[in-house]
Amino acid sequence: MNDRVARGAGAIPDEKYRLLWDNIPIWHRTRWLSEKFASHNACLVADTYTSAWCGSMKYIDENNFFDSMAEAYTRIYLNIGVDEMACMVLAMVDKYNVDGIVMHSNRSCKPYSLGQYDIAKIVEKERRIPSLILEADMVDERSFSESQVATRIDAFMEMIKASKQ
Amino acid sequence: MITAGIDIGSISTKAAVLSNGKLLGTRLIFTGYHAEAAGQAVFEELLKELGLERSAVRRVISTGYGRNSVKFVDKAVTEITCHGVGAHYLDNGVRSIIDIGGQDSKVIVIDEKGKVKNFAMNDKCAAGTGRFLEVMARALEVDLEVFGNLSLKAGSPSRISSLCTVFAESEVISLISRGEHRENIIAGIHESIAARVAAMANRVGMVPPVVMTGGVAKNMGVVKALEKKLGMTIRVSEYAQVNGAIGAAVLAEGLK
Repeated sequence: MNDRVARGAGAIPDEKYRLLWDNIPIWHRTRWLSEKFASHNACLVADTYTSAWCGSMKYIDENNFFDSMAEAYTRIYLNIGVDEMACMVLAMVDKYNVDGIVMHSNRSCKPYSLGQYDIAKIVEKERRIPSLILEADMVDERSFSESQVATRIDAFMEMIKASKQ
Repeated sequence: MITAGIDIGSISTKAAVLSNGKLLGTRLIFTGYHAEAAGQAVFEELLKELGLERSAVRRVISTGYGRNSVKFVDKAVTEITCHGVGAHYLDNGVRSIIDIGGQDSKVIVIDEKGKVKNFAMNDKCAAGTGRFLEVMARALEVDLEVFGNLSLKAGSPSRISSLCTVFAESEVISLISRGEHRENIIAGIHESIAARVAAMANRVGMVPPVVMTGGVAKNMGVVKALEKKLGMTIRVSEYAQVNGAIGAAVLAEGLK
């Protein structure tokens, strides 16, 4: 990773736009999605899911194990309120210097999907960064409509490109 | 410079030709099952009508669901961007667009230059779209042309609680068998569409002035139901159905 950073080698050949992914991946379409975004020179540089469960390890104190473990559990991304979630998303927006957020409204994970519209509004207000919502499911392919999703992604990228001109 | 825009929708295909920013003409045909052939046909028919050679047109942009199926164009752009540009071209005061086409509905918010700021689309079913209205008109044995105006005579609109096309049709049929007036049923259908669009408008932060585009804009019943639900007036241009094609032709002028 450090070597790639030093060489300036990104995950896609010509990265112009950096996006943050929210929610569990649409596992059955990960390749299609990454190629779709890459065709717009857009890269999904970070996501809220990877560290959703381990991100609260820092609250664990071995000298006060039971109390701190309870705290760590309750501080997991899905167990906090929308305002707190938005704070974490804003921190990621700043850290990874993103141009837009792609939110997967996931039918098989309602606790993760609830509040996405509010988080999108908070990010838009605080950082003037747009969000795209894709309705799908992490495993059920029947909940995925390719041409609808393609139109939304194309329109979202046209919007980001126009705003950066 | 002469440019053209071709909007290939799920039900109809539209073309518009512009000369130095001035609209020369538009045309609309049914898409049928072959999107590329429809795009080609509507373009050729419009050129013939205008007495123009294909070589006179410098650039062409395609849009709509069939945008990637036509190979003779210079670029494909989504209908969301094109509707923004088209609405701004026809009326530069407009800040939001409600577009209800054959198979989807969307709300688009634009800035003072016609650039898209935000948008929302219905999820992947025909509920509340042109196709939905076609199915309802058939169930009620009413010609689509008079469907919209009939609802304006409704005494008390029926409640259609289901938004799914299939379930709503069953609901309409049970209302018919109960002897409910046609006008009231149609008004109820329009109110159910308005409720759905209002939810989208709320999500996307719609701001007035609002223009309505797409084929369903021709249905005055839907326009009135939307005005009532949203509490604001909605503008409908005579070019509502070809707005996306006009936007594509305008974008083609700026293409490098």
